[in-house]
Amino acid sequence: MDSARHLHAIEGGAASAGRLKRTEFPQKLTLDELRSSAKSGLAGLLGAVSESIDGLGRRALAELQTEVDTALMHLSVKANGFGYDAWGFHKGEARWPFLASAGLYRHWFRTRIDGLENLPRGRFLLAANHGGHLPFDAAMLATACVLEGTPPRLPRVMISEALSATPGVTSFARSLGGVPFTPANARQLLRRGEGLLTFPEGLTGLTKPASAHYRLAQFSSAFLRAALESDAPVLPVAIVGSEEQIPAIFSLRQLAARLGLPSLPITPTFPLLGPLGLIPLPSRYTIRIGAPIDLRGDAHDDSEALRGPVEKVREKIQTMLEDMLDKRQSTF
Amino acid sequence: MTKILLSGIAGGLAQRVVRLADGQFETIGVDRTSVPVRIEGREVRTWVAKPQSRRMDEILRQEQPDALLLLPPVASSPDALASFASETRHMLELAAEHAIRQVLLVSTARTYGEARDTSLYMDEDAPLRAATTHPALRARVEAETAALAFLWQHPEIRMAVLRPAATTGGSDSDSIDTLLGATPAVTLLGFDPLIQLLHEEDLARAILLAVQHRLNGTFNLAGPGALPLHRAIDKAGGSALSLPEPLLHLASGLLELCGARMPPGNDFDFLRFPCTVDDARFRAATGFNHQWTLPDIFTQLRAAPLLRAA
Repeated sequence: MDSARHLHAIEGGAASAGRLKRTEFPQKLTLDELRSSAKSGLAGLLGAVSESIDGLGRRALAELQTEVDTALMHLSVKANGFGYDAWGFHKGEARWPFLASAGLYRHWFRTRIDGLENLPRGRFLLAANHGGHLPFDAAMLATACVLEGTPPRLPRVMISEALSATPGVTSFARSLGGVPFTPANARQLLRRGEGLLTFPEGLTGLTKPASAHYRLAQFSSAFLRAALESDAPVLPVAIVGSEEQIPAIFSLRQLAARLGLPSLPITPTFPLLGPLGLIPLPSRYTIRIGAPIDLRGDAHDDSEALRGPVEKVREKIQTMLEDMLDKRQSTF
Repeated sequence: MTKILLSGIAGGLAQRVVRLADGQFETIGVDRTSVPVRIEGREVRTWVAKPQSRRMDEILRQEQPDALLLLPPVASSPDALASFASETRHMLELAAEHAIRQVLLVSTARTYGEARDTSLYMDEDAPLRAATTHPALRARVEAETAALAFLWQHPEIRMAVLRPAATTGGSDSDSIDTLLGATPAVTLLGFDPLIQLLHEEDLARAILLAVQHRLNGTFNLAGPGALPLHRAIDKAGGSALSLPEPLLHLASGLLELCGARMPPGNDFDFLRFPCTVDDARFRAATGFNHQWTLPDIFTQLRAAPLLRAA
C-alpha cells in the first residue's frame, strides 16, 4: 500500500473518511503535507485522546462545575413549586448530565460554535444534520446553547418517538431538556416561546454509512409544519465532527429497531470491548448556527407541497457543511 | 336554586361535592346502597336505586332535578366497570325523557391512553385511545362516547364531560394515592413519566363550576403542575422499587402478596408513558384556579399514610 493509500485507509477507517472523498484524495504528498494529514489520522487521534485526558484534571473539573452552575443559574426556566418546568426539566437534576456533557464539549470533542447570536429571544426551531450513531451531536448543540448562549438558552431536543419506549432514554434526555417528538409537543413548545432542536433526517441520518457522511438524507417535513403553525423562525445548523466519533463498519439497523435503540454499530471495538467499545473518538466538533431562513408555506399542505421549503433548508445546511469541511484542518 | 341529582352518592367525591354545594345548590343523591350523607348535622336526601331500574325512572319523575351528575363507580371491580357504560347510556336516556336541562359526566384523563407517541398536555381534541390499549378503561371510553353522541342528539340539553387528571386526596382504594405513598411503590426501571395530580376538593369545585356555567362539550382538568413519578413517590413519603419490565410481569402477583403497590388497574403503561392534559378550555370557560398546590397535596399525602394503606 503506498503512503497516499495508507493515509486514505486511516482517514476512511479510523476517522471514517472526514471530508476527503476517494476521488479527491491527493495522489502525491510532500513531507509537510504528510505530517499535516497525519494529524487527522491515527497520530492525531492519539494526540487528541492525550489532550482530552490532560484537560480533565481536578482544576479543569472545578472550572467546569463553576461554568455549568453559572450557566444553569442564569437559565430562564418557568418552574413549579418543586423546580420542574412543564416538560419535566429541573435545573438541579440537570447539573450532573450537563457537567458530563460539558466535559465532553470542552475537553473531549473540543467544540467550537459560531452563530449563537442568530438565536432569537423568543421561539425558534433549529434544524441540524444528524450523524455518528450516538446522539452526541444533540448533546453538544444543547450544551453550546446553555454554556455559551448570552443569555443561556435551553433548546428542547426533540427525541424520536421510536426511542420513547426504550428504558432510560426519555428520562435521561429530559434532564438535558429533551422532549419526545410529536407534532403536538412541538407545537405546544413553540407556542410557549421555547426553542426546539430537531434533526429532520431522523434516525436515518444518525445511522448513515461512512460513504454518506455529511451528505444529508431526505428531510421529514414535520419540523417545517411545526414552525409554520407557530410562526417560528427556522435556523439551519451544521455540525461537523459527529460523523467521525463512532467508526462504524456497519450498523445492525433491524436489530437496533427491535431493541428500541437508535443504532447498533459494529466497530473495531464494539461489541468486542462491551459498552466501553462505544466510547466515542475525540473528533473535533464544529457547530455553525445560520441566520433564520425565510420560509413560506401552509402547515396543512401535504408533504409534496412542502417539499420546496424543506429542500431549501436541506440545501442550506448542506452548503454550510461543505464550507465547514473545506475549512476543517484536523478531524481530531 | 339549581337542584342537582348525584348518581353515585356513596363515593367520596360525591360527598365532597355535596358539602361544597351546600347553600349554593340543592343536592340530592341516589346510589345502589343506602348511605346516609350528613352536612353539619343535616341529612342529605338520598334514594336507593340501581341506574337501570324502574325505580330510577320514578325518582327522576318525582324529583325533577335541573342537573344530573354522573360520577364514576367507586369500586374498580371488572363487573362495576363493565356495567358503567351501559348504566351511563341508560341514565342519559332517562335524562332526555325527563327533560333534565343539564347532564355532567365525570370521566378521567386516562381515556386518552398512555402510549409511546402520546403528546404531553393533550387538549380535548386528542383521540381517546384507551379503549384499544387499556381494557380496564374501555367502559370509561364507551361511557364518554355515549355522552358525546347524546350531546349531538339533544342540543336542547347541556351535556358536559369532564376529564380530570389523576385525583388525589380522596378515599378511593384504587386511586393514585395508594401507589404514591407506598413502600415499596413498584415502578418500571428506566421510566419516569410526568404525572399531574389534582386534589379531589379542586375536582369537586370544578364540577360545581361546570354546573354553574352550564358547560357544554368536553373539558380537561389538569393538576396544578407536573412532576416525574419517582419524585412524586418520594414527596408523598413512599419509596420506589424500580424493576425491569419482564421481571415485573413475572413477579407482580408475588410482589402484591408482599405488600408492594401496583399502578392503578395494574396498568404498566401508566408507569411508562405520561398522560398529561391541558385545561385551558375549562379555565377560560369557568375562571377555574387550583386551590390545592402540589406542595399542599404532598403535605396531605404524607399526613395520611393510613388512608393509603387501607
